[in-house]
Amino acid sequence: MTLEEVKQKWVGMKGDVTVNEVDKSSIKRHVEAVGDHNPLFQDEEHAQSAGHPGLVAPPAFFGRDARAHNEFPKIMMDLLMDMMGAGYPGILDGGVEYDFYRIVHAGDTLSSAARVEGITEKTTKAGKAMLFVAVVCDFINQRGQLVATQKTNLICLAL
Amino acid sequence: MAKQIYWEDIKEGAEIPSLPKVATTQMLIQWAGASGDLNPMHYEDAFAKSQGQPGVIVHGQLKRAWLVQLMTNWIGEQGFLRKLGCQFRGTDLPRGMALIGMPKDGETWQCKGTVTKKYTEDEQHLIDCDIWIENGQGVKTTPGWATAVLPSRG
Repeated sequence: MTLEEVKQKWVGMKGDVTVNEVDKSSIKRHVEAVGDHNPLFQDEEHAQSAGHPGLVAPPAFFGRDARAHNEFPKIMMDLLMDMMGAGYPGILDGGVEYDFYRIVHAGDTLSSAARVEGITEKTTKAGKAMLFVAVVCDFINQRGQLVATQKTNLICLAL
Repeated sequence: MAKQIYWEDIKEGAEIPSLPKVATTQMLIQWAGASGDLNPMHYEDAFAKSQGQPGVIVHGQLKRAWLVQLMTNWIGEQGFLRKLGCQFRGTDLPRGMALIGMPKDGETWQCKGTVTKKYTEDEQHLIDCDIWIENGQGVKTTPGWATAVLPSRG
């Protein structure tokens, strides 16, 4: 597949909607792995005394890839396979941007779907071709409210 | 937790209290399990080397979580993190393990930030910040930015 064909196929493509419950165990595993001991994320009684309905999910709980935690979505795996086929096998995580709109609590259900916003050609300092692939994901809670938007910038390096 | 800060008390140019962090090979495994990011770049040395890295590297998404922690620690329970972004410019290499649960001596990272702008918008009291992670040599491997809503003394 040529680069033009990859762009034709992928820009604007949207992945399947996934629905995940934000459960206490996943929040616990997340904060332990980060080493974040904020009581809002760990102590349900404390969170309730601070006015929350339950444990607060930290803003970093939204994973790269559009799930309530970070399993790599199928759309991105398929995209990366095509990138390799087009001669861009070096995959790097370039960065991430979030807009947060509402607090998420344990017991909330989040639905999300990743979409490929754009593929931009650039050149590395060493003069190699690379692509910036922007993947955007909205997270919607069980009340239909937008809680966060995430934009991931993947870098695909040429051979 | 630090005590609550208020918008009126924060000046442009103010420094956010630094958050020191250590990454070990063990912590990367723990993050891989918690996050579901099973890229072997973060736990298999030979694979990382085949990808042109000096060895396994720290997950960008874990570094992003450190920066989120820097902000949420500082803005307190009444603050709300509105935006956060960062770029994974430099790779970071975890410390090895000396014993189960005890890292070898080595690098400590510092998450840092400064307030660049203070303003109100739609009756919200906001601050913009530059944030970043420095490695043990003081090099900024992970520059970023954040916007937060702070409580006002009214």
